[in-house]
Formats: sequence, C-alpha cells, structure tokens
Amino acid sequence: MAGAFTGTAVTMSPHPLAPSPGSSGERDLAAVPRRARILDPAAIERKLALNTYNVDAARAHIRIIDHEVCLHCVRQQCINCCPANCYVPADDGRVIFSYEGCVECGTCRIVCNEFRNVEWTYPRGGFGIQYRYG
Amino acid sequence: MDDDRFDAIVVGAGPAGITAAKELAMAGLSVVVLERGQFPGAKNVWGGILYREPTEVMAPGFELEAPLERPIVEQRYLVLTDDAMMGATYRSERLATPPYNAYSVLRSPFDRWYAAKAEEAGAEVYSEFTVVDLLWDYGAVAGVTTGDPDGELLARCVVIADGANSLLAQKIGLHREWEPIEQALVAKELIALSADVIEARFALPAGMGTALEIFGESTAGLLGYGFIYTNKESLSIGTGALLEDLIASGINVNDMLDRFKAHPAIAPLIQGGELLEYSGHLIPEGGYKRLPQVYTDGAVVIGDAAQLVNPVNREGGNLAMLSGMLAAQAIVEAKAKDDFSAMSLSRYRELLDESVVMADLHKIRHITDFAHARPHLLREYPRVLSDMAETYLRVDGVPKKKKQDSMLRMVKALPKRRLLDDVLGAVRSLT
Repeated sequence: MAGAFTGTAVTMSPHPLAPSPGSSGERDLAAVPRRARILDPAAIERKLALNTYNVDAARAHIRIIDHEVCLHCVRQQCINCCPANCYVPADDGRVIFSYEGCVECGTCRIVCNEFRNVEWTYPRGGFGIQYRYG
Repeated sequence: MDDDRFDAIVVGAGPAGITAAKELAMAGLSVVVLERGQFPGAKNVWGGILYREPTEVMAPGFELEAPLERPIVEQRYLVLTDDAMMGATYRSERLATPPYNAYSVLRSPFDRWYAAKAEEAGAEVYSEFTVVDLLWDYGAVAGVTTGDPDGELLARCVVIADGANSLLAQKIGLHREWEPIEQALVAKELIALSADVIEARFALPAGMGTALEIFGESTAGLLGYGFIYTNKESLSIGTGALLEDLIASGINVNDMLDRFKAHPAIAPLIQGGELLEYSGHLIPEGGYKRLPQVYTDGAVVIGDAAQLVNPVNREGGNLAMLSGMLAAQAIVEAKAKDDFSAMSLSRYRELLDESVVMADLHKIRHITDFAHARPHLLREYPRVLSDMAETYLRVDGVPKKKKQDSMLRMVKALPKRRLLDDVLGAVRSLT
C-alpha cells in the first residue's frame, strides 16, 4: 500500500461511546471485564421486537462450542459486536447466547477469531429473520 | 451419471444469484434457485441505492414495473463533529430528468420482484431451502444438499451466491474465514414518515429523493460512514464501520446508530418517524487485494460472496448483478463445450477482469489500508474544519485579518509530515 504514516504517534482521547477504561488490557483471567458492553441493550430489544421472525424452536443455528473457552477470552468481543444483543455476559465469566433475535449477519463468527468458539450455520429453510423491507 | 441433472443450481436469491439464474434461463439452460428465506429477498439487506443504467442492462424496462422508491436527484456528503455538521450538496435538473441515475430501493420487495422475472425467463425458484453443503463427484462440485436425506440436488455447475459470509465457498476452500478487517458491520433502520414530511424536510420536489453519506461522528470517527436515503414514505438510516475498528473501540454498532440519530443535525430529519424494521448486515470490504478464488471445478462464486463491493462509490448491488451476468455467460460457454472444469469456468474470472467490476476494484484497492492506517482522518480533521468555520462565520468585532491568522494557526498546529503524508496518500490511493 501507499506508505503508512510512521511519524508522530496518533493519540486520541477515547470516544464518549467507547467503554470506560480500566477493565481491559492486562490478561487477568480472574478479572475478565464484567461491565455492560452495550450501552443500551434495551434499545436493541425494542427494535428487534418490530422485526418479523420465524423462530425455529427445534434448532439453534448458532452455538457456543465450549463455554469454558469463553473464560479464557479476555475481550469477549461477541458481546459488544453483536448488533442484536444475542451475547450477554454471565456473572461467572461465561457468555450466554440466545438465537431468537439473531439477524444472521455473521459478525460473532468472524470476531471470535482468537478461539474460533462459535459454530455458525444458517437457520433451516424458512426459519429465522424475514426482512419485509431490507 | 444420471442426466436429469440441472445445468446449474444457484444458491441464494440476491441480486447476483437472481441475475445469473435469469441469464442462464434465457440462454435455454435448466436452472434452479434455492433461497433459504420464506421468499426471495427475505434475507436480503442493503443501504438502498440502485443505479439505473447497470440495472437496465440486466432487467430491461425495470423502471415500469419494479418496486422503486424515489429517483435520486441530489447527493449530499456531510461530515459531523460532536456538535456540528458541514458538507457539500450536489443537486441538478439533469439528475432530476429521465433517464435517472439512481433510485432508492428496498432490497426485499425488489428482489421478490426480480426473482419473479427470473421465473418468467424459465428459472425454477424455490424458497425455504437452506443449502448446507456441496456434493462432490470425482473432485468436482456436482450439486448441493440441504442436509436432509431427500435434499440432494445435482447439477453440472453450482453458482455460489450466498452473500457476504459465503459459508459454502469457505467450506470448499475458496477462501479462509474472513478477518475483521475484511468485513464492515452496518446497522440500519427503516423509519416511516409521510411523503409530505420527507419532501419538506429534505426540500425535495414531489416524488424525488436524496442520498446523504455522512462521515465523522456518524461512526464515532471509525472507518465507515452513516447514510440516510429517502424512500417514498420512509427513510433508510444506518451506520457501519469495519469490524476491526468496532472491536478495537469496543463500540456496539447499535449504540453508534442511536448516537448518530440523536446528533443535533440529524435528529430533526427523523423526528416523529416510526421504526418499521431494524437490520444488521455485513459488507465485504476485502476488495481487490483479498478477492477469493471465484471458480473451481463445477462452481463459480458471485456477488458479495466474491467480495465484489466498491465502498468508495457505494456500489455492491450492481457489481453483484454484473458478476452474475458474467458468470452466466461463462457457464453458457461451458455448456456448449460440455466442460465445467475449473479451466473452462476460469472464463468467468477472465470476463470479470475485463469488466468495469475489476477495473473499479483495482482503482480503489489501497483505500481501506490508507484510511485504516489514519484514524485521525475522520476525527481530528473535522474538528479543525469546524473550529475554522466557527471562527470565520462569527461576527464578533475581531478584525478579519486576526481571524485569518488564527485559522492559519489551526492548520499549522497539525503535524506537517503527517498532513503531507495524508494528502499524498489520498492522491495515491484514489487515483
């Protein structure tokens, strides 16, 4: 690529939307960050309630492969990256997943790039979100 | 091998897959489309701008019957700081006179219509079938399976059009798992407003529409942009950024969208609107440098599945359609030779390379790297420009010469080497 800038270091104050500092950084397994990563999960739930879903009660199309592995994941970026608030931190450091509100974007699979701990498939034919507008 | 095989199975009824199916059917090939949604379009999301000319090539006369929203007569590029908005607007009578350049379009109803056109051309379109894997015969793709014992379907060629994630192409080794720098995540809302209100708020002639692309605070300064597109009786508003940046910042894309919507310059545009639908979708951003292999023995990959998106010019749907058409052309040639080997289907990549798709992707191949290496572009420069504008616009007894000096100081305060590097880098990566 065209030469990346290598001069003065770029330092910026954290954006107001960014989570408060102090809870990430050092890899301390006993102190996996316990803060809410999504500032307004209730807003997402209100929005999802307007979408049309045909939930497959018989099959979850996404699965956390090994919940123990999440204990070793410091960043747990599935939680803050999911646009549908499907990943919620549990008190014991694990991650609770629910697929009912999933918009099938694929983000969680791609951001779990350290442990590859998300088994991700599409819902069976006719199930899952059905966009009326898209 | 039995010969009630289809000539082609298309996986996914998006713009790419439907175009390929329609072209193949029109050439007399037997083709079936498998769509996992309840109807074609049910899983499809996009920002919302359809370009007329490329669409006319794929679907002649579409303007008379396709579900379109508003002709786009105006383009606004805006930049937000936390409390300000600046930008450029282009509107013209030429854009407002047929043939139009672009329409706002809702993906789901449009694709439902478009799939019906493919059916008219002779393609069989089946909804509610999720293809979970490909079938093999002597090292070549030979069909698809839905995972059910009776869910196997055989074909001479499979057209992989399963969208941004493209699990199928990954499964057969045409690309590895996408990295967070190769995909952007966008959250979008469809907000209902009456036509009168939309036209008054955006100063639009009756029935006409505008497209706003909004940088800076709309993405909390991350690499990406927000958008507002006017539909007939709704607005499409969304924002997104590279997954890599969303991870690094810890910002959730819906929080980003809500903050964007609450911005003092944006809130009045959507005020009083009623939310109809919320969506989240990936946009492939790998571009030219990270293009997957797009053909193999018995299969081709088209559209988002092949990462054919031009983020600079907001093009994805038309590149998807064009890739579908070129793949169909290669398959028609393969059928004539009765040769669906990788060698034969490499004709598709050849056609792609000769087309505007690859020419454009090649031209902008450095842009993501350029912008990603410069996080200050969308955060620091808007702030400086905003401060300069405040100084210039405010009449407060300070002599103009003095104002000019203080504005110059704001520019001079920027690291000079970096500024120079940014300008040269922008020129290099965009020309």
